[in-house]
Amino acid sequence: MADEEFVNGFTIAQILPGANVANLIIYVGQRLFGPLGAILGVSALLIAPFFMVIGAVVCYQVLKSQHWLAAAMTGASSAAIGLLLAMFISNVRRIGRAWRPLVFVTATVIGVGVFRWPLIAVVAVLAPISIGLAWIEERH
Amino acid sequence: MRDNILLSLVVVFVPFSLISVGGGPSILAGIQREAVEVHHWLNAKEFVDLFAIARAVPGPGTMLVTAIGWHVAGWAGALAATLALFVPSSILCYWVVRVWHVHRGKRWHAALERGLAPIGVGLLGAGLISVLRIVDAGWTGFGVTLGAGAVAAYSAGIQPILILLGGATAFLLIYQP
Repeated sequence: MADEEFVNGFTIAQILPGANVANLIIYVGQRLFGPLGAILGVSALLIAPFFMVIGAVVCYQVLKSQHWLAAAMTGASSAAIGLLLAMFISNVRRIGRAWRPLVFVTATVIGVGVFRWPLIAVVAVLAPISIGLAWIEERH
Repeated sequence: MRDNILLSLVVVFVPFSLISVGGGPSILAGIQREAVEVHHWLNAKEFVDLFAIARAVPGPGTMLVTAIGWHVAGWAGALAATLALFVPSSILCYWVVRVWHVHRGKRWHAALERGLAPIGVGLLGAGLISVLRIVDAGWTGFGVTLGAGAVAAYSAGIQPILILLGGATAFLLIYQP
């Protein structure tokens, strides 16, 4: 697979809904090995984490009443939120300073995060407008 | 009753699968709202804990739904939730990939990409607010969040689990003398 083709797939994987890594595997799997490649690729991606997550949750449920675990989990959760924060900041920086993207980032954050309107409804309203404006921008 | 739970897992997660623009973390706020407030599958503390567990384990962070499914309905729940979240978006992706290269470089590609990106980023921010609101970890927790964020931002490629272990250790040292 050529570099350009891979980069193209990377873009598609990010635009489309779904975990980016799963989409990328579908792209590569489909291109190289057809439908079976895509199915096997995604299955391979998910099978090990599926059992590992369940194993971790079982341990968590068994030990949940221990006080030290409650404290440790709160610390781990706080750190996990930090990872999300870093991801959010790097994404905002990548988007740049143009007004349209920043307006839509802000509107989405306020609608879903602050006012807590249903996520699907907010996206259903904002996404078409944002795509429409981007479409107009593309003309220039 | 059990069938109803499996069915509601599917009914709740399938739409999220198709709307998770920008990747898994973008639907965190929506999943939190549905799982904790609407369906009461788990309480806020459990949700935040499972969020951390899913982030610690290798693989997509969206495996959070697997953990939720397991929590509410065991193996069947885990399987139903995982399939509900990954199958619809995968089918859509497969279909788009097949037609995409035919229209390579078209204007609507760029419009779609540049139009959806800010929505995805905004959803990420909303997810951040939704977990910050329920984590209930006090100022110490907020400090750990900022510290973890700084470490993640400035040491690219570090394993997430190391940062999570760091946060857990900090809390153990402070609250468990």
